[in-house]
This record gives sequence, structure tokens and C-alpha cells, in this order.
Amino acid sequence: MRKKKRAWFATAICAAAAALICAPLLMIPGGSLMDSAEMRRILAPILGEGSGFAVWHLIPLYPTIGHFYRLLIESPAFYRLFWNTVGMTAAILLGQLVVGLPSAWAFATFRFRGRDFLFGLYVVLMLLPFQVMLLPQYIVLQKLQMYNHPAAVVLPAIFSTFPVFIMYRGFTQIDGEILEAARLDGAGEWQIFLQIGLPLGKMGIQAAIVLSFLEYWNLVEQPMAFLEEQAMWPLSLYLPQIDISQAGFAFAVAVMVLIPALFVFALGQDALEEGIAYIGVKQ
Amino acid sequence: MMRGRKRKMLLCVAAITAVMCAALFGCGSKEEEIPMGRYADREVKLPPGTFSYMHSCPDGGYYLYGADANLTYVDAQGESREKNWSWENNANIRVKYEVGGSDSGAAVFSYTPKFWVDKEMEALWISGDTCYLYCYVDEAGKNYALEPHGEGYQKGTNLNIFAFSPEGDLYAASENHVYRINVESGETDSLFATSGQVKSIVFADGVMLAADREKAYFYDMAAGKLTDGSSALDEFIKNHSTGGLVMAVSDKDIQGKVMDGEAADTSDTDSADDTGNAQILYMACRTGVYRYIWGGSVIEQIADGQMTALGDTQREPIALQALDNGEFRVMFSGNTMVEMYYDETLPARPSRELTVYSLEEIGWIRYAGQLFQKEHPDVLVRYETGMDGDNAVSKEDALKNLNTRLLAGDVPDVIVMDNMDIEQYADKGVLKELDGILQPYLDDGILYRNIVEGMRMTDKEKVYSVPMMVYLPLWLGEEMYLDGEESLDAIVAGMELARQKHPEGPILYTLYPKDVLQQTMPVCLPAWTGEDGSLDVEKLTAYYRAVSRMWEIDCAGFDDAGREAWQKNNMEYYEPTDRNMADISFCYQYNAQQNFGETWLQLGFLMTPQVGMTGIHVEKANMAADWQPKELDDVVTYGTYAGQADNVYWAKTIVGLCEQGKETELAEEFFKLLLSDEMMRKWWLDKPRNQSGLTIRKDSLGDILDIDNIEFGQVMGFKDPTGINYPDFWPTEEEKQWLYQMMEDADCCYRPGTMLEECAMETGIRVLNGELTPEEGAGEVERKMAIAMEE
Amino acid sequence: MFLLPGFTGVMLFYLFPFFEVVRRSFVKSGNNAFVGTDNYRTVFTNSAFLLAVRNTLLYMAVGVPLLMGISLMLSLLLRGLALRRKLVSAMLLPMAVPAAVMVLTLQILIDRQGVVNGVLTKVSEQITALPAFAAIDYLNTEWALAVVVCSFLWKNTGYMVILWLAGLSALPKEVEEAAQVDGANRWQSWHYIIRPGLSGSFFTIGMLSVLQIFKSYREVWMVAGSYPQEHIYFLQHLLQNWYLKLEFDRMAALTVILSLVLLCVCLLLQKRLEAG
Repeated sequence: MRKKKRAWFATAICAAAAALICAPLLMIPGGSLMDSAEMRRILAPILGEGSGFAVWHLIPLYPTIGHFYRLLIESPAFYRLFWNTVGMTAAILLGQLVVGLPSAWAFATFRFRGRDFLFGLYVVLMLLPFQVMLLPQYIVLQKLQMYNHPAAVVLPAIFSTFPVFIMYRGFTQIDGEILEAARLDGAGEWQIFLQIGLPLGKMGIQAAIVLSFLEYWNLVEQPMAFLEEQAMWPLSLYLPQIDISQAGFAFAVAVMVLIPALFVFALGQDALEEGIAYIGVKQ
Repeated sequence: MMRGRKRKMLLCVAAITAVMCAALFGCGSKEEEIPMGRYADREVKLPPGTFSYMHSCPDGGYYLYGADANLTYVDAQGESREKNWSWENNANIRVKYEVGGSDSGAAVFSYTPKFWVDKEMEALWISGDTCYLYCYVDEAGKNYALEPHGEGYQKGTNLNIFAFSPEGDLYAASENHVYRINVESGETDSLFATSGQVKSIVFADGVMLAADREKAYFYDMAAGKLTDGSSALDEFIKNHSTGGLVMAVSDKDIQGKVMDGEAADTSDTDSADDTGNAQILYMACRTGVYRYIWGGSVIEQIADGQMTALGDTQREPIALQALDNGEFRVMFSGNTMVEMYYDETLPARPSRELTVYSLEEIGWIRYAGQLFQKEHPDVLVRYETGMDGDNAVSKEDALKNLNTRLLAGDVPDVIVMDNMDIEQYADKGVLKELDGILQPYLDDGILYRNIVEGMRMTDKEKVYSVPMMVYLPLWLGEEMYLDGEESLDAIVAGMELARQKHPEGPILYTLYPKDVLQQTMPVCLPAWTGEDGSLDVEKLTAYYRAVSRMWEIDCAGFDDAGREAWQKNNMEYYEPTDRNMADISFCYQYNAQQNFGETWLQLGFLMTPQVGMTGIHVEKANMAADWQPKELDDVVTYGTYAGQADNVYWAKTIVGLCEQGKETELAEEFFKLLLSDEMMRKWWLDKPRNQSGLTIRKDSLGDILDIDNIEFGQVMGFKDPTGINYPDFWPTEEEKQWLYQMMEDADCCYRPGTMLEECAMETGIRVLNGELTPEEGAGEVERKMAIAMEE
Repeated sequence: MFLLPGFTGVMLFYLFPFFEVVRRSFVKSGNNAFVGTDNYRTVFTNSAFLLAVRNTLLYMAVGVPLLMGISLMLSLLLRGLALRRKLVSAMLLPMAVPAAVMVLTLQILIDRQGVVNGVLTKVSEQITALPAFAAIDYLNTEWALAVVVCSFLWKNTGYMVILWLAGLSALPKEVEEAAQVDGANRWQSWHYIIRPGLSGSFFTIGMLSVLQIFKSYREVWMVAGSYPQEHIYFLQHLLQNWYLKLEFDRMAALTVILSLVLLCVCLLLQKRLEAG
């Protein structure tokens, strides 16, 4: 009984926190349906065109689907960019799993000389601001003749050390004795990795995928720097500049960016858990 | 064992490193021979009139139609004759829209009427839908009303594309359907649905091909059904329909002119071995001309858009004709047409590339690129812009990308430095000194020396970039407000005076605080930085004080509600998004529709030679017309003004050359082309209303202002025999001399987009809003500038 | 063998570029002349650099512990709740919002004439007991850092909750349950069981918080520009402004310094937290 009460209490707090976090986002759907004149009127003070304070109508007074019409019907580019984003994100996530999982596993389970240093290096490379890496990466990509090609964004992202770092954490929590026992039983390293490592590190993997997804779904700087041709751009670059007169349109784009993300959250989490469990069983 | 393993690992790492190094740094390049022969183009002189549609006839002639022009037939030899259509006799046409023509000269067009006969249609019209009526004109030029009806056609559905088959049947397309219409009875069959608006319809071998922006539909006219499409063609259409895609069918093959593998979109080998008499579909779009053999799966490129007029992003192709001699005619929006012909003497690919960069698209530069390419057939001019369109790329992002290229050694040859920190780039050795190239121009007095001199910078005191055009400050108002004395204080004093005389309403045309800043900052900003680049805080404080006073005076004429009402009235004409001062304009932009009579003093910039100068008169007339009493007309006058800096000019299209560019000689030639009389003058003859600025070439400026320049006079309407367009307003000799003198005097360069300006603007708005005192504002700017200087 | 494929790519896309940065930190950008440690000297004697370091450290000192604390509390509460997944997804939402739109909402809210000030003014007018409220210009006064930290927390809480939950899930449940049966109170079970079990996660999440601090730059820049109020002038502003001024040599030197510091911190923390 007491436990139940406590659970309710915890739920309430967390729900309050979640509500607080989501509250500003409530502006988005309303804004996407608000017509430009209304938007301009209520935001006039911010535009420097009026005294008093800006207000916000969560539900527009004169709702319009004009922005969505413009986005979904009048701009064929939208779909192209949308699928670009989907394609890029999918390729990156897949690549990161293929490349990053073994690396993370190696860091977590093998003791070799220079491991700590190398791992530290990975962390530092992860932390380096992109602004600094922009120039040298550009040089490398150009030498590889990948500049202005989707690979210029996808490949460096695949080898990002970020997912390694997160999945590593998941793997270190595996009890070393289990692995030893498996080795004694004559299991190969890959077998151990697939059969024991993957299922046990699944929370880490899941976290890595979710976080990577969030990062690459809204990737801005890399495509802007490495893709010249707008036809290859992801959706995140389609947003107009922060320009309040276009706010309604920007909000409409945001809605279209958010919906797939919600889908991924909703569907992805279960599917992922099952999938990882399945791989483990099959081997 | 451990050791062996380790060594293996080390070896592996070493091997990978070596391979990567080789891949990265050992890039061997092969020189290859460039084959000869490619398509080039020439402009076709169209008969008088404005045309928006072309129908090509199998004999090589074509029909031209336009909403305001009569049907004109041009035969294969280029002789034109006007067909006497009775369009104009139809009194009930308000606006004509789309046209479709046949080989015989019959045509169908859509229009909106002046009055509606059909009540049902009128109801639709009133509800806000634009719906068309249709008219069929037979070969003899006789008009018949065409009323589409039938199963599958809903009344009021707009038909936007019309095409006559070689047999003379009319096909038409709405937003999502294709129909066949009997021109006599109006009976309409719905043939098939499409996913979007069909853009072009062509016929071959009893098959109609209709293409929207995503797919090509093949319709067998005899069997009356859709046949298999071509996925290759669909793919092509999807990728190439941006900026217009036009089609034409011909049974004449132009084998051998296919561009070689790499340039073509697809290079499968099953190309035209057994084309025989097969029909060939030609398609033209921004990237070039392509051919597709009917029923095949290969699309080959035959002409490169970048090398021809097709690559021009300013216009869109609207019709294509494939001629028997292997040439093409392309009709463009904007009433232009080119013929593309195969020239054996030109190299198939340009062997050299000249890269021109600017932050934002500048029409004049693109125009120069095309001209340059014509003069140098072996050169491809790549014009790249850092930020275009409506996307998330900001100026900083664009500059970051440019700097990446510069640092990586991938340097453009010519940079247009508008909105960039020229001094920085000159200092870092990116820009080349232009003194040598400019010397002859200055010695011969071709350019305004003072304007070039105003661009000297860095410790070396050299010229690194030159504005091709300038704007000059100009005020308009009652003489007494601003007579002769030029300073910021004089403007304030003038406003005080005006306020005394006219206690109500605005004095300046300023809706918001930032307008006052925009109108005064260009003539003050150059005075704020000292020799060493440090900020003169006292001057900035004085500036903030003066503009605060100006805003106060301006606001004193209203109560809050009155001001808001005035702002609301003007909202329509006012661009709220522009925060970077790029678009202050003057006479021409603010035209008679505006409520200008309420302003007593206008500050702005003279942006175009003729329109601006004549605009002064138009504007004077407007101001006077709204003023009470009317006699003020004589008092309205104009002049240049100064703030804290004197003789300011606003530099536009500032061109610099790159020290590290790959084609330095070509770059120099391009630069000279920009400075040529042709470039400086022709542009205004083509586009007299654009606001590129006053040319820095003396003779060109004189030519543009010469009303005897017949071509120009026609374009402008000043020599129109009907005399509708204010011939009286053409600048007098005296006025021209005044302008030339102003050009001679301008020696203080104002360049928009500097960090100081952005900073002073942002803070200035807060000062005018009363959030900060002028002293605090100047202090804040000083602190930010200190950080910037220290960096 | 597990590491090799990943390492190859890392080498190509990160290590090589990093070496290039190191090389460029010793030459003058423009003419590539070797200048020794001149660039480092310029960086260290630069007052803009000192200001940026101070601000960045302050931002981290406030932002990282707050973020870690709040998200850890939330995830401890969330653990085992039925609605866990939905709530976490909701908390993650701000991450999925494109930066441009996030900035837009922020502007609408915190502009001097924005919604927040509007609401506060209304409230203070309604309740006479409260002193009159004067609109605050959040981005141009000392409030700027607070705004930045708040938006940082807003955006990243969900992110860190996910990571904490991943860490918590790996703790053996039996031990904790056994402890509860033995009558351990919540504090004891936190102190003796959960906290030691999470020590590795502390390292990971701490590092990622720092990463997110660095990544939050674009939003700060979009709201406040290249030269913001002096309390929110961070290292990244300096880096970006240098880049815009073509001073890559200084940037490179700064990066090398930064990476050395980060590497040391990272190795130290790793040793301590993983051992403990």
C-alpha cells in the first residue's frame, strides 16, 4: 500500500517535470496553425513594432492550414529533404552500430596497453567542437573526393566516437566472470560478444541509438559545411532563418520534423529491445 | 605470443596509415585531350510584342502567342508575319491566360471575362476561385466559345495546358487530370488522372506523352489507354523539373553529339544502335538538353546547360523545338528565345574554370559571367553564392564555409565582397592589390578616382577591391529645413523647425526606431573608427544623442494611438524583416500610392541613375500634391546630406580578386570586363528599373542619362509617343551636372554589414526605445568592440 | 580485432584532422611559416580568451551539476514506474525540436517585450502585495547566463535521464531488494548500493554534460549573436569569431590547449571514478 502511494507520488513529480519541459513546445502546434497576420500582431512588440508585451495564443484565433499547404503541397523540395534526412539518419545509425559496437566492446572487455589513453583520446575527440574539425575534415573529404556527396556527412558520423562512448558504459557493467566462464567453455570472442555482450549491454545500445537519432535527425552544421547542393540537404536546413515573420511556417516545419521523431520513440523502443534480445537468442 | 599479436596489430595500424596517406596525398592526375564540338547558343530577335507561348510546327516554323500580342507566325527562315486574330474583338475578355496552338494556326486559350453570363461560374468566381472560360480560334482567326462538358469533367475545373495532336485533336490538362476535348461541341472525355499538374504534352506515333513534375504518362490515343511508362524517364523528370522542363519530339536523330559518358546522366550502352526511324524525345532544362529514344531506357545529355543560356537561373524555359538540322530553339520566360547550334570549333568541355563567389546572388555578376563565357568559349564561369533562398544558412555560416575553402587552398578567383569584412581579408593576404590594374583607368579618367581612392585600406594603403556601383545620400523636403549646411545637427535643427511649423504627424518617413537609424547611420558610421581601427566613443555618443532627439521630435507629432494607426497604414509597404539595412531606398520605391504627403523631410539614397533622378521629380510632385497649401510645390527641393562623415558613398557590388586564385589571368580579364562600358551600360538598358546603383564609370553614367539613347528611351517609356510616362521628369542638364559633381566629391566609403554597424544598430534601437541612455548605449558598443578588437 | 575497423575510420576522420590542427597551431595561417609557440602565446595573453574561459567555466560549474543532479533525481523516481517510457519520451522532445525553432520559441518567451515579462507584469499588477515588476531584458543583462543555463537544462534533462536509467538498469536488483528486506532506508540504499554502482555512469554522464555544454553553443549564438552580453561570451564564440577572421592558427592553438586539458581531466576522472 505504501509502496503504491510512493509510486503515485513519484509519477506525479515526474509528470510535472515532463509537463514543465514540454510546456514551451505547446507553442509549436498552435504556431503552425496561426496565420501570419495574427502572428505578427501578437508578436509586434518583439519585432520592435509596438509597445507592451508579446502574448501568445496557444489556440490561434484564426487558424489556417496555409503553412502546411505551402509546405506539403507547394514545396516539392520538402519531401526530398525529408527523405534525405531519413536516409542519412538511418545510414548513420546502422553504420554506428556496425562500427561502434565492436569498438565499445573492445574497450569494455579487453585490457590492452594504452587502453586508457586511447579511450581518453576517443572522449576528447568526441568533445572537440565541430568548428575546429571543420577545416581539416573538409581537407580529408576533398582528398577522398567525397565533398558534396552524402557520404561526406554519413561517413564521419558513422565513425563518431560518441556512440562508442555510450555503449562502452553499457558493456562495462557486465560481470567479468561471466565472460571468463564463457571463454573457459571454449566460446570464441565473437560468439561471446554476440551472445552475451549484446543482450547484456542492451540498455546502453538503446540509449546510444536514441541519442544518436536525436542528434542526427536535426544535424545542421555538417551538411551545411559539406553539402553544397541543396538537393542533398536534410530537412533541418530547410527551416528559414530565425525570422519572426516566417514563424508560422517554421513551426509547421517543426511539426513535420517532430512527428516522425515521436513515431520513432513510440515504435523504436520496443522493436529495439526485442531485436537485441532476438539476436542474442539466435546465436 | 602476446608479443606476436602486438606486432601484428602494430603492423596493421602502420599498413592502414600508409594506405590512407597514399590515398590522401598521392593523388595523381591525368591530363587528357578534350574533344571538340559542343552546343552553343545565339539570341533570336523576336518580333515586337511580349510572348509567353510558342507552338512549333513540323516545318521548322513556329507560332508565338502572348496575352497582349497578336498571334504571330515565324517561318523556318525567320520571317515573321502577324496573323489577324479577332481576339481583341471579343469585348468580354479581362485577362488572357494559357494558350495552346496547332500546326494549322488554330488555337485555344483560357481567359477570365469582364462579366459573367453563367451564374454558377460567377458564384465560384465571387467565392474567390479563379475560374477560366475558354475560347477556340480557328485557322481563319474566328472565335468560338468553347465550353468543356461531359462525364469526368467537373464544371469550373481549370484547364491549364492545351495541346493539339498532329491529327488536330485537342488535349488539355487540369491540376490532376488529362482530357480530350472536341473543339466544336465542347464534349470532354477524362482520359486519365495524374498526380500533379501536367506541364508538357507531346505526341509521337499515335502516343501522347504527358509529363507532370514527377512522372511521364504514355497514352495510346488509338487504343484509348495508358501504356507502360518509363522508370528512367520518371526518374529524370523528378530530378530535373525544378526551374522548368520542356519537351519536343522529332524523328531526326542527332547521334554523335551526345556528350561523353561522364557528363551524361546515364551511360548505358544500349543507346541508339538501331534507332532507325524511331521517335526521339528531346528535353531541355536548366542542366542542359537531353534526348530519350522513345521506348528506350536511356537518357543522354547532348548539351550542357551551364555552357548555354539554359543555365540562366533568372529565366525559365517554356518551349522547345527540335529542328531537322540538329539545332534547337528554346523559348524562355521574359520574352526571349535562343537557338542552340552545334559548333565543331568549340572544345566539348571548357578546359578552364573561373570561380566567382558572392554571399548573395547578384544579377549583374551572373550576367557578366554569361558574357564572359561567350567571349571565352573554353572557359566555364562558376558563379557560387554562399546563401541563397529561404534556408537556415546564415551569413556567418556562409562565411565559415568560404573561409574553410580559403584555408584549405580551394580558392575562388573573384570574390564579391559585399557585406564582408574587406580589411580582414586584405590583411590576411586573401585579396590581391588592384592598384596596377586600376592605374590606366584612373590615369585616363575613366573611373571616378575619388571612389576608388576611398577603398584604400590596411597598413599598406592599397586598393584591394572596387565597388562597381554606388548609392548617394539624398534628401527631399522644404528648402528651409536643410539648406546647405550638412551635419547631423543640421538635420536635427531642420526637424525642429519642421516640427514648429507642422505640429502634427511624422516629419521623417520613420515608422520604427530602426528606420531613423537606417537613414542616418550610413552617413555617420565611417566617422566612428579612427586610423587604428579604434572606436570613437564620443562621436558614437553624440550620434545616439542626435538620433534620440530626432526620434523624439518625430514621435511628438502623435499620441500613441495615432502613431500606431500610422504604422498600420504603412505596414503594407514596409518590410519588417529587413534588419541589415540592405534595402533603404528612395524615390523610386516609395511611389505615389503611399501616404507621403504626411512626411515633411525624406532621407534616403539615390540608387538608380535614371529612375532615381526622374524619381526625384515624381516624388516632388507627390509630396507637393499631398501638401496643403499646394503652392509649396516650388519650395520642395532636394540635395545630398551628410552626418558625421562628409561625402559618403555607399559601395555596392564590391569586387576583389584572390591572390591565391588558380586562374589569375582570367580573373583579371573578368575584372576588366566588369569595368567595361558594355557591362556598365548594357545592364541598365536591359533592366532599367533595378537598383544596382550608379556606375563608377563616368562615360557609362553619362550614357545612361542620355535620353537620346533611343533603345533606352523606349525601354523606359520616356520616348513613348503617347507620352504617358512623364517625359518632363527627365533630369535636366543642370541636374545631371549636379549628380556628376556629387559623384566627383564622394570619397568616404560606407560599407554595410560590418560588425560595428550591426552592434550599433542593435544597441541603437534600445537607446531609442529608452532602455538605455545614449552614454550607456555607446558604452555597451564600446565594450563589445573591445572584445572584438582583442580577439 | 574488434577495435580495428572503428579505429581506422576514427583515424581517417578524426585523428588525422586533429593532427592537422596540431600542425597548424605551430604555423602562421596564410603563409604557413613555422612560428613555434607564438600562437599559444597570443592565445594566453588574449583578454577575450580569459573572459571566454571564465564564462565557460562558470557555465559548466553551474550547468553540469544542476543537470546531473536534476536528471539523476528524476531517473531515480522514474525507475520502475509504469509510465516510465512515455514520460522519458516527453522529456526528450525538446531535443528533437530543430534548433532554429527552439531559438524562435525562446525569443518569443524571453525578449524584453516577450511573453515571460508580459506574464510577470500582469501578475505583479494583479497582486498588489508584490512590488511593481520592471521588465527585464534577459539577454542583455546579468540574467543572460541564467537564461542560457535554463534553456540548457530544459533541452538536456531528458537526454541525461535516458543515460541514468541505462546505468540504473544494470544494477543488480536483488541486492537492493535484499537490503530493503533487511530494513535499509532509502538513504542507506542510495549511499551503499546505488551510488557506488553508478560511479562509472557519473563519468559518462559528466562527460556528456560537458559535450552538451559545448553543443549548446549554436543556440546561444542564434539568440544572442556573435558578440553577446559579456557573461555569455563563451570559448566557442571566440573560436567562431576567429574562424570568421581567418585566424585559424590561434584557433588551432586554443584547440590543442583545450584537448590537453580535457584529456587530463578525462584520464583523472576515469581513474578515480572507475576505481571507486
